[in-house]
Amino acid sequence: MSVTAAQRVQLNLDEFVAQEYPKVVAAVGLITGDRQGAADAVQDALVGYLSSPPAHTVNNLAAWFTVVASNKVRDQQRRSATERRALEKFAPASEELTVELNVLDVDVRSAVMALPPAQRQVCVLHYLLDQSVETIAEGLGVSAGTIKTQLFRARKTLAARLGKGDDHG
Amino acid sequence: MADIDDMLREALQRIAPDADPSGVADSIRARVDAGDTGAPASSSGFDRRLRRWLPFVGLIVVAALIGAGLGLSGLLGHPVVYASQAARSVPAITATATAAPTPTPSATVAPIAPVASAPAVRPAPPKPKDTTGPSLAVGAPNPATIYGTDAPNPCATVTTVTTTAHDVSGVVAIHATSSFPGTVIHQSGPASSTTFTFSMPYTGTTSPDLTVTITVTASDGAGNSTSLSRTFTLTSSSLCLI
Repeated sequence: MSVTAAQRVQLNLDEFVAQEYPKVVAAVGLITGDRQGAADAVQDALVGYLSSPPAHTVNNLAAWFTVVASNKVRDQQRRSATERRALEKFAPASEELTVELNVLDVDVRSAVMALPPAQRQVCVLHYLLDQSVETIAEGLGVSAGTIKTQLFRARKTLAARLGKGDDHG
Repeated sequence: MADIDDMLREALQRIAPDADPSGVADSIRARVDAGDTGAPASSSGFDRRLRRWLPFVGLIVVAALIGAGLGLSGLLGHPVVYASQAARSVPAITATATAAPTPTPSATVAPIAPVASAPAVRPAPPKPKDTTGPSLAVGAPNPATIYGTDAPNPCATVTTVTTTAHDVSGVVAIHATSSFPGTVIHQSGPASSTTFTFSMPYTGTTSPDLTVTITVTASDGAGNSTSLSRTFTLTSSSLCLI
């Protein structure tokens, strides 16, 4: 990596960490159910990005890091079979005990965690990171139609679980 | 009923609070400076999807290569042409144009000569193991009659034998023996073409003529050998004595 590139990446790193990192870690934590693993994975992804940047241009770093870090956490969970334990830990305990959650939030979290991984990922990218359908599609390398379909199914499932009407039908 | 989109957006913001970014940038820089490579960029969703397909793509490519190889071997491989077919000549083709009013041209296409079939290239069979000795030729002793070394001139005291030997494995050694005790044998030239000289410590004045047998043995690189014998006379004739 040339000095100029390194400097440019380092400048972007400060900006990214200050503005995007908090949300990305939150999103990865929600997608994977492992908050601490999410922070580690996002930082790992950032190190990997700086060490050997991807060949293609990443237009949406937040979405890209969310996907990369989520995949990494899920890979680790598969390998060590800790997903179940992470999900069990989700309800009480952990740092989120400091967050006051109402009954609805608990229900929403449970409903989101019950979604299939792909739908959960799209749902979090869309609702938590405010990513548009097109941006998510670009980040995941799939068509916008695929994202729309997954969002529709996720919304329908969540509405059914939460007892809400789905106005988007 | 609240819109589910708004409800989800607000709920997710509450249940997934932002992480603390303090010190993260410095920590990441320190890891990069220390040579940590972190998570490779190939962990993105697209690459993972592509990776899932790679084995199938690989199988398709391998099958295509095999198919192409078989097809090429069929196209480029030399067909076996039997002599009777190859020798068969193609009959002459005669065409006559009948268009008027121009004079009727007549064209005759010469018969196509049968194409001589090139010999099919087949792998050479493994070389059979060499089990035969060298081909050996031993000339007649010259002269055929000699005196012993102690005898005075004009009779010869030395007879010479020339030999040639050949073998596919190479002639590695050739030597000669004599039936007469004390025969002095000199050898010159390579194993494939050697000249032997024989002389005997024999006065010949008191003994009758003797027939001496010399035996030449050649050995090849495979351990086989061939022997041939010749005889000459060791004379006691007084004609050679002065």
